Parts: sequence; C-alpha cells; structure tokens
Amino acid sequence: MSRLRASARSGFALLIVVTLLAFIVLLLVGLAAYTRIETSVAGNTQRQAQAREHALTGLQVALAQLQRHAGPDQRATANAASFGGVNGTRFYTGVWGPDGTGPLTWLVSGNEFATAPTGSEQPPALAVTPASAPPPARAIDLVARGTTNTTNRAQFVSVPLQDLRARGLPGSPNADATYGRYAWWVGDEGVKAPVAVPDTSGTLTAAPYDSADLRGRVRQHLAVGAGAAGTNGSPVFEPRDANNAPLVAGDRVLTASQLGFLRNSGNGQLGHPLQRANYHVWSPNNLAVLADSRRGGLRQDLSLAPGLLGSAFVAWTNYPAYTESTVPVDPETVDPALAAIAPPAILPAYGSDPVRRRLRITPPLLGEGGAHQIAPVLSYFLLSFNVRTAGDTAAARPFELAARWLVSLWNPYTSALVPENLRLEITGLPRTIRVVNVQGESPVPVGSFSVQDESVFGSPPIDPDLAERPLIINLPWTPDGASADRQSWLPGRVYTWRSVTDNSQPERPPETGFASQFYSRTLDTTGAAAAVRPLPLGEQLGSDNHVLEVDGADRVTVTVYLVPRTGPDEPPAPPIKLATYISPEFVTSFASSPQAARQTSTQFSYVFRLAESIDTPAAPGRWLTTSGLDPRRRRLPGEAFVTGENGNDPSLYVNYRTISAPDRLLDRGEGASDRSYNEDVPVFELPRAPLLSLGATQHFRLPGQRPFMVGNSWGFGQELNGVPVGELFDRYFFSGVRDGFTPGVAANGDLIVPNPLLRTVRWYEPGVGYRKPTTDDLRATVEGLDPAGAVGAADARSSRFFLQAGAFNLNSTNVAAWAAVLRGVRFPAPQTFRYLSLSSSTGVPSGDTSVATVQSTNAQFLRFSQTAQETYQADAGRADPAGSAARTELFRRGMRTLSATETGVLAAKIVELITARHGEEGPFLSVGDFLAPHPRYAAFDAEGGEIPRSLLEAAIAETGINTAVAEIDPEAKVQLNSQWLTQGDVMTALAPALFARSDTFTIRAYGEAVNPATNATEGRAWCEALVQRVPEYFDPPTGNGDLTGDAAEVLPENLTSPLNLANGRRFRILSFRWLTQPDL
Amino acid sequence: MSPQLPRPRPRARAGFTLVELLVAAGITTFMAGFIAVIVMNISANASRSSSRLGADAQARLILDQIERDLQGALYRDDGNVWLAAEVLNGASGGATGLWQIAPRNPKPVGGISLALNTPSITDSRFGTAGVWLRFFTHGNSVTNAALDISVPSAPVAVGYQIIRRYTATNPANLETAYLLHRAEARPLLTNSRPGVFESGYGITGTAYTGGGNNNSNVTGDPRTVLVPGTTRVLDAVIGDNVIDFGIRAYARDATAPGGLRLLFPATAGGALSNTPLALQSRLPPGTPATASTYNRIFPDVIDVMVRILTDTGAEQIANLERVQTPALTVPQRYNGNAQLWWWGVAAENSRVYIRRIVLRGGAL
Repeated sequence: MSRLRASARSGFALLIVVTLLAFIVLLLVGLAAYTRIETSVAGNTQRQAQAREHALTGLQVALAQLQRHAGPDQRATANAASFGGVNGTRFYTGVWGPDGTGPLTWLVSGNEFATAPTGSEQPPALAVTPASAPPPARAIDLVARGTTNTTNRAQFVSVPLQDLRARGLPGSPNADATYGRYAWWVGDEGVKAPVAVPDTSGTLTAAPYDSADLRGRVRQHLAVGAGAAGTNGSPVFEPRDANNAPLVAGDRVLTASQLGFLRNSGNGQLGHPLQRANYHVWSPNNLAVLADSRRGGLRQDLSLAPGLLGSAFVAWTNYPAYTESTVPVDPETVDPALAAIAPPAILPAYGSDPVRRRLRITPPLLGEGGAHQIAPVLSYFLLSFNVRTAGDTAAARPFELAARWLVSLWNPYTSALVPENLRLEITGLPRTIRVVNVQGESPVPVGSFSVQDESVFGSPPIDPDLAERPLIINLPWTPDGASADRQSWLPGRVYTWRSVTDNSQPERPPETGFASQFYSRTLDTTGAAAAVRPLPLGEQLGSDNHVLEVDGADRVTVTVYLVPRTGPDEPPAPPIKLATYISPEFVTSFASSPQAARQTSTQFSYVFRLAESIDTPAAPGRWLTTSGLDPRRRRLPGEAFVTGENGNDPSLYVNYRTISAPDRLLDRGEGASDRSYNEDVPVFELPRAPLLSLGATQHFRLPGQRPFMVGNSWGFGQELNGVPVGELFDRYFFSGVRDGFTPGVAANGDLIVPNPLLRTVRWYEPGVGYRKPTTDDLRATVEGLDPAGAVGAADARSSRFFLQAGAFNLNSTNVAAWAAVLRGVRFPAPQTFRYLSLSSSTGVPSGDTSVATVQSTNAQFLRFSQTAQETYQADAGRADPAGSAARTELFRRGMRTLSATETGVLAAKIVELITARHGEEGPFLSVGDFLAPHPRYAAFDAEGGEIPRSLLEAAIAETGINTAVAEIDPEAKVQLNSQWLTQGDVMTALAPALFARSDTFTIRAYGEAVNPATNATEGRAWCEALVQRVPEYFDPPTGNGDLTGDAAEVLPENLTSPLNLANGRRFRILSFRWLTQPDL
Repeated sequence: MSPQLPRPRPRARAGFTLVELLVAAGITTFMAGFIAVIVMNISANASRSSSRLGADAQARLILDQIERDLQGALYRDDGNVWLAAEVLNGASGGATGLWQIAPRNPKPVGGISLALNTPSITDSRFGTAGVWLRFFTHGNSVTNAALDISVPSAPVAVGYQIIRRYTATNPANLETAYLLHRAEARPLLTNSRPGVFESGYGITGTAYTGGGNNNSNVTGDPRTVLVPGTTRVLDAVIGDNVIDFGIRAYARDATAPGGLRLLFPATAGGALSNTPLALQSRLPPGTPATASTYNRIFPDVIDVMVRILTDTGAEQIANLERVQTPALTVPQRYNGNAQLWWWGVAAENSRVYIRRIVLRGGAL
C-alpha cells in the first residue's frame, strides 16, 4: 500500500511533464490547423486567380483568332446551323475568305492550332468542326440554360477544352503535366436582329431637316433598327414606342441582358426569361464597318460624291436644282414688271412646305450610263384630218384641210410638277394625199398635197436636224385660278389638250405652232375645234363624194418641247427638247371611205396611246418590265405604244373622237369626279431630300433599260459609270451629307448626319491622335474630286469616320431574326401622310391638305420612301365610272404593308432558301451576291422561258404575298405597282443594314486551374467580352516616324504593313465581364 | 529463534528529499516559465499574424472586388462621364452627411493626410476620406434557390468611398469605424424607383447625386453611389478599418515613361499634385492628353491602394479618437503633434495593399 503511494508520488513529475507536453502539442496542433486554414484559403484564392488567368488566356486567343480570320475586309461569316451543326455546335461562327474559300476556321477553341499546309492555298485542316459535338469529358458548355432559359441542348454551345501543360511542375518534374485548361467561343452577334436601335432622326435640325415633316420621313427612308418578332412574324415588343423610346435613346442598351428591362405593350418589363429565350435572336445593336466584303476597302459616300456614278446621277440627286425655290406669290406684293415671269400663285396644298414643293420640268441629261430628266410622258395621241370644201355647203368651194387633235400627257412622278407651256413637234405625217372625186362612175383625181407643205401644216422645224417640216402645236398651261387641279401638274395625273378652232388661214402656219386648249378632252362637235389650212386644189362641189388616197410614213413621231418662260421685254427663248415619242407602225398607204366634200367629219386619224396593263392582260407588268420601254425614256420607241381600238389603219378611224377607256390606268376624265386623286397613277419617285438608302436609287433611270434597275435582279449585268449595278450596294453608301448640307454637332461632339444609323467614331490623325471627325474632315474626303467621278487624291471614303448601326448579317438563318429585320420600317408612333385631296365638285383642296395617319407595327416597304405622303391615299375602285378594272389605287399607296403573318412567312422562306444555298455554295460573300439572280431561283414563263430571279425575289414570289395586289393577272410574274413588293423595295428599307458578314461578336472564355499532381480541377472562371471591328487598321499610322501603318481608307491591295495584310481592321473590346456559372 | 526480517525503511525515506523537491520545483518552474514565454510569444505572433492575415484577407476581398469591377468597367463615347474620382479631404469626409467626426484626435484634415505626390502610391495618403471612385460596370447576377437568375448581370453604377460612421444598427451603440463602402445601384426599375437603365450613364449627373426618387433611403437607388445607405444601413460596407483608399489612373501612352501617362491625381499638366483635378472620364482611351483633356480621359490602367488597420491598430485608433477622462496627451515622441500621433499609430498598425488593374473594356 505504501509502495503504491510511493510509486504514485514518483510519477508526479512525469505527469506534470506529460501535461505540459500535451498542452504544447495541443497548442502546436491548433496553430497548425489555423495555419492550414489560412494556407487553404490562400491556396483557393491563388487557384481561382490562376483560373481567371487561364480564362483571360482563352479570351486573348479568341481575340487573336477573330482578328486574324475576320479582321480583313474580304471575309464572310455565318453560323454553323446551316453547315451541319448539331447540338452544341449550331452557333459556332465560321469565317470564309475571298471567293468563298473556306471555312477558314470555326471560331472555337481547338482551331487556333490549325495551320494551312505549306505552300497551299487550301484552308487548313480544322481540328474542330460543327459536324460533331466535342466529347463531353473534354468539353465545356459556354452557352447553356443560364443564357438561353432552356435545357434544350440545341440552343447550347459546347466547345473543346484545351490543356495548358508544362514540364517541371511539382509532382511530375520530368514529364509534361497539365496545370490548367481553357476554352473559348466567338459568338456572332451580327446574325441576330438588332432590336434596341434608337431612332435618332429627331435630332436632325439642320436644313433641310428644319421641317418636322421631312425629319419624320427619315424613318421611311431606311430601316432604323429591327422590330423584335417571333418566328411567325408577330411583334414581341416595340423599341420605339412611347415606353421604350427613352430607354433605348442614346444607344443606352449596352448588353443583351438589358433587353429584358424593356417594356411590352402593357408597359410591363419583358423579363429576363424572355430575353434569355431569345439569346440567339436578339442583340441590342450591331455595328458594321462600311466596307466592301467582296473587293475589300471602305465604301464610298455617294452623298458627298454622287459624281462617282456619273453626271446624270449627280443631276438626279441634286434635288434643290429642280425643286421649286419660290414661295407662293402674293399678287399684291409682286412687282408688276415681274408679274409675267413670277410663278403663278398656287393654292396652299403645294409649295409652302419645303417637302411639298413642286419640281421643275427638266431636260434630259445622259451621262456615264445614267439618265435624268423630268418630263411628262405622252400617254394618248389622236390626230385626225379632214379634207373638205369650205363652208359646209353643196356649192363649189375651195378645198381646205382641217386637223383636230387630242393629246394627253402624264406626270409619272410622285411629286407635283411646275406646269410649263409645252410645244409638240409632230412628224411622219402624210407626205401625199391625193383627193379623188368619186361622184361619177370613174374616179377623177382632183389633186394632191402634202400635209408637210409649208402652206399646209408644215412649220419650220424646231429641231434643226429634222429633214421634214413638222406640224407644231402648242400645249399651253392655263390655270383657272380656282382649281388646284389646274394650278400644278399633280402627281401621277394625266392632262389633256385639244385643238381649237383656227380658221385664220394665213399664208403659212404660225411658226410657234397652232394653239390648243388646255384641260379638255372633248371633240364632241363634228368639225369643230379644228385648225384649218387652205389647200391648193381649186374648187369642188361640196356635194360630190371624194376619197383620199394617202401615202405617208409608217410612224408618227411626237417630240415634246418646253417653252421657256421669258420676261415681257425679252425675245422668246428657243424651246427645250424634252422627249420624243414614236408611234406604233401605221399602214403607210390607205384610202379613205367616200365622203361628200362638204362633210366635216374627219376621214382618217392617227391614234395611239401608251401601252399598259390592260393591253397585255397575260403580262400586265410588261409596260414597266420591258427593256427599252421605260416611259421616262428620252426617245420612247413605238413598242411602248399601242394603236387605237381599230388597229393601225388610220382610215378606220373616221370622225374618231373617242378618248375614254375607263379600264385604262392612264385614262382620266375631266369631269367633276375625275379631279379626285383616285385617278392618279404615280410610278416613279424623284429625290426631294438627301438620299439615305441605296435602295432608293431604284428610281434612277438607266438609258435603254427597263425601270427599277438598281436593286432588282434585272439590273445585274448593267453598268453605271463603269460600275456594275450589282456592286453598288457593296461599294457605296449614303451619309446624307450632300453638297450644301452642314451636319449639326451633338453635345458630345458627334456629327449629326442625316443617315440616322451612322455612328461617328474617332479616327487617328497622325501627329495629333484620336479625335472625332468634323464636317471639314468629311468634306476633305472629296476635295479635289473630279466632278465626273474620277477618284484622285480624294477618295470619298468618309466611311472611315463611321460605323453603321442596326447592321444585320444576311447569312443569318434565324427566322425570328429575319422577321424582326424585315420589320425594320414600321410606324409604332403615328406617321402622318398629308396627301392632296381635291374637292370633286370644285377642284379645290378642302383645307390645306388631307391627312391620313398610319400607326402600325407591321412591316412597311416603301417604293416612294421620300414622297409617299403626297400620293398615299388610295381608295380601292375608281370613282368614275364605278367598276373600272383599272386598279389605280395600287400605284398610289407608295408602300406595301406586310402583315405579321406575311412577314413571318417571308422570313421563313428566306431562311429556307439561304440554308439551301449555304449547303450548296457556302455563304453569300457580299450584298451583291445576295441580290444577284441565280439559276437556282429562276422562274419560267408560259413558253418555258427562264425568268432570272434572285433568292429574295424567289422568296417573295413563292410566298404569294403579291397575289392580292396584281393589277390584272395574279399569276403574272412581275408587276410594278407600288403595292407589288420587289427586291428593290426591300432593299430601299434594308440596304443600309444588310452586310454579308458581321463585325460585332461576343467572346466567351473559360479557364480552370488544375493540380498537376492529381489532375483535379481546383478553380474555374468564365468571362465574356463584346468586341467590335472598327474602320482603322490593326496597325494604323501613328505619325511618329512609324512609316508602316496604313490609314483606314487604304485599299487592301495597297496596304504596306504586313500586320494589316494579315489582320485587317482592328477589333476592340467594348466591354468585359466575369461570369458566374449560373450566367452560362 | 526465527530469522529476522529486514526492517522496512522508514516512511520518511519514501518521500522526496528537500533537494529533490527543490530541484523538481526548479525544473518545473523553469519549464513552466519557458513554456509560458514560448506560449506568450506564439500567442502574440499568432495574434499579430491573425490580425495581419485578417487584414490580408480583407484587402484581398476588397481588391478582388475592385478588380472585378474595374476590369468590367463600361465606357461609351457619348459625352457622359463614365468614371469619376476625386479626393475627399473635408473635415466631414465627403458629401454623404454620414461622416462621424471623431470627438478627439480625428484623422487629420489635409496636412499629413494628403500626400498624393509621393513617388510610390504605397506612401501616398489620400486625404480625410480617401478617393471617392465611381463608375459603371457589370453587376453580378443573382440567382434564386433553383439557380434561376432572378436579377441578370447587367450594367450597374458602383461607388467606392470611406466613411467614418456608426458600426451598428442599434442607435444606442455609438461605436464608429472607418468603413469602405461599395454602393451598387440596381440595374433596373423596381416599382417606381429607377435603376441604372432608366437613369442613364452620367455618373456625375443628378440621377446619381441628386435626391427625389433616387434618394439614398433605398438600397440600390442610384443616389447611393453618393450616399451609401442611411445612417444605420450598412449593407454597402465591404471592409472595415480601412483608413485610406486611393487610386492612380493612367492612360497608355507610348511616349510617356513606362508607357503610361498619369491621369489622376494630377494637375492639368499631368503632374502628381496634392491639388489634383477631379477625374471625370468622358473621353476614350487614346485621346491626346492636353491640359483640357487630362482629367477627362478614360483610363487604361488603375493602381488601387487601400490602407487597412490591424485589429490592434483599430483598437488604438479607436482609443485615440474616443473621449477619455482624463484626456490623453500626445506622447513625447510626437512632439505634441496630434496629427503625427494619429498617423504614427495608424502607420505602425496598418498595412498598405496595392493592386494594378487593367481596364479591359474600351470604346470605339
């Protein structure tokens, strides 16, 4: 017992020691644990930092690949959806090179190591293609549910992981080991519809946009951003409505996620789920470099240098030169000495508003493949002759020749014209008329004469080169001071003159021509209203029957002259030739029916009129779709006309007075009800403001061709000033900064140019640095430019200062995106159309003008993008007579409205055809490529003849959206009333927006940190960048002794910097953000 | 006669001798003393390390957040100010109205608190309340329990600034601290209260500084960039004991030393200065730096500095600034200068953290 106690006592020291040691151990363990936690925290932070670095590596690789492959101008981009893409790869972005080589690459991780075979022009063998998704174990989803709000992998993007390896890492000092991975994907924003583009037209204040009306019309000229739609074409939201307009103003929507903050029609937020569901459909805005993807180089500005397309184009676009510059004249204030030359007072409907001023009749100008003139067109011609004895008596009297005429001229334009006095020079009249007395059993020749004799109707020719003496008649414009109908030559309106009684019979015809009566188309009384000339045939009994044996030319030629106004003390100015019209072929020799010599009924007549729909019911569009028969032609051939209802034998038109043909488009009565706009047929538009869309040049005339050459497939193959028409859309653009226009400057220094889609970008001025362009900078691009268009030192490439907003890659195969883009022109806010409506009883406008208001989110395609206001009102059916087959209303509306359903159907068909094209030939490489006719889309006429068509034309035709607006035959292939949607109309809206490539991309990159010893992933990071291609080259000139850089306007073939040859134009990161996994 | 058993040793023999006890006690005392010293040293080191690690962790948190924000900073060349910075050197900090002035020995106003022109940013001092930095960046998305995004990652306005203010929501608790705030305006409209999307992108505009519907009573209102929460709302705090916060902003310029040209804090001539122009970035990177543009260029690179007190330092500064009875006197080594005293304590008990951040977003 005591030993035990002793033993316990002996362990006391040990116990103390052990206790102390345990305490120390606990302390050390605690400290170690603490340190381990801290080390672990630090380690995690370090590995996360590594993952971020690897993600940035992926981003940099992606940017480099994008720069290398998509930096040069001559590239096209498209999604893989139509190139064999499968789940996970459909949204890979492919890049194709010049002439369609490629794809050069698919912009996803794994392809950065692909190199072209040495000495080969072939694209490199690519490690990653969209044909198969990368194996899941070696791939990462960079677009998934968090981005698209769906678990459907068809919407996902899966890309291969790339190892980052090194030797000598801890755990494997002598072998390569993986210390990290990265992955990246370049998403094409340009194939999405830009649905948050603001309408900036309201900021325009400089003349001529000091008119609210003209500012408002800008949104008719071109598509100001897409209108979000579903695949069925139904609107989803409207960025320009009252709720959203302030939210999208100033390009406020910076990221796609902010689209969810916009408002629906009920002013509720769209919501993030909807935005995510449309991730592949919508982008806020896409910006494009104004470059030529086919030939390379920046586009040239036709507003600054219209001479690039020739002198006629200059004249056509120079609207101030032919726009009436006066204001309505108050007779009380006019100097009496000037009263005669002052413009006639006009009623309020026309003239006071700059956008409604009348245009001046202008002589033809042909130059460099184009033509410009403003002149009325001969639409009806009747010239009747009556050889008779004077006095309408049975007694013997001398012979005389009476001539009666009716002439109708048509204003084919959508603008009112300043009326002028006109003069007609008519040739091809009978050279010999033999008068034969058939009263007895045997015919007895009385004598013969020529109408062209100077003692008959042969006047000195106006045209000195004319070989014969013409009949000259005057067509005076005599306003009555009350009716607006007679104050101006109203848009699309036909006016008629008739001969007046002229028995003066001087020795010779008046040199200045016979008089006519304006505003009358009645020849009701036999023998009345005739110009009468004595004939040197002696006297005959008026009761004897006679016949006329006529020999003449086969065609009558009518040349229209403008009689210039001159002051009261000035000598008459020589008439100005406007146009020549050649009749159809007539029988050259014929004999009239016997008729008593005293009879005043005309014995023969030359009758012809402009051929139109009714004349070719199986091909109603023929009058506007036949080469060489453009009614505006300076010398319109006989094929453009048809003879009267009795054929081409003038003798079959005895005492012919019929002019009325109610089923004709161009038949206009002059009764009370015919003063309605409902009779007008406008077909062509003349600029009355700066042009903003190349599509609007469809109204420019190419000599000898059919109308609407630019933008439609039939224009391809033609040239304008040496430029193939098919290349116009890729080589040029309109800034709207035409001669005389001075852009405003916004508070931030941006130029306010008429084209609302242009965004100014800073440019690098060597020796100065980056700065915003000024008006002088724009003008400097055309200083010294040859007006005829030859490009010298100046290059008219103001495109170096701009990016184009609202851009859309036409290689997109997304139906909803196309539907949204097709809705580019729409009127979510009320758009007013002030049209002239005359009282049918008085001819006076009721009030100033009548106003129609359109408020619709349906897609609008304007044929008359600048002037639809004036002709808009289009009531179905003709007023007089009711039931006329002439569908004049189809011509007046000036724009075609597609319903949501029609828009969706058209979008689906376009995508179907694009997808087929991609599968067969690859992407479109240029806008011209897209618009060009191709055998794949050809139609066939009744005889099996091929009618070339483009993809867009085929899509329009195959969807049948024009069936309801056919003039006569719904099966007709092409008609050109303004309701009949054409490719040119689509391009009027979309030309500024369509490109064959994208310049805005989203890069998503992923990085992970890997433990080289365990190969375990210990850190992950995702990032995203929005990148934008800009006009400046990758290596711009700095002006600091660096001679290698190239200015933005340098063409690809003239680049001096190898960096620029390889990398093209610079991509810049616009925004960057780190993502979380739920964001994906 | 039976054999005699050996006598047991007397009990006293079984104990320790005095010598043994003395030796044992001596050894024990020595060991205990030795261990105590070790433990105290370890404990002190652990405390210091913990304090330092705490400051390190806090700095990492702060700088990571700033880095993330600045890397994602947004800019568009639209004439608006997209990034702004200015030194808040008033006695009451900035214009928040939340700055609680210390009753004793407050952080000096100006003087030695303002040293912007030191060669190294490490040695710089950015005034009473440091730099007020605000800009637009991408906000983080917010997910719900099902990992669905309830608030998307979208552009937001953020503002960084130091405010000495109450640390508790309890009005009875008057403890204060130097708090670094990161106020983030919500990205979108909530009910009738506008977010960044509705307010636009002028960070110096009235939407972010004025009152009205953008007041600072509601978390996420644009005006919280100026006033991050009312007096007792602290949800914008991302770091405490941050006694200095500053930046140096640069633009890339091949002609400048090191390829970077200083934008802030600088004079119109680009020189470091204690009286710098406020940075109001409305011009894109690459804009020629002139007297009229220096402070308007959007930076390419920003150096960020934060000075964080250790816990000990925080206690000492708190003691320094607290009302004491009797009042504390300035130690002799500070020559009676309270400013030197404040900064002496702060410098000895704080660490400075620097990070260089490249802004990755740009402009056209």
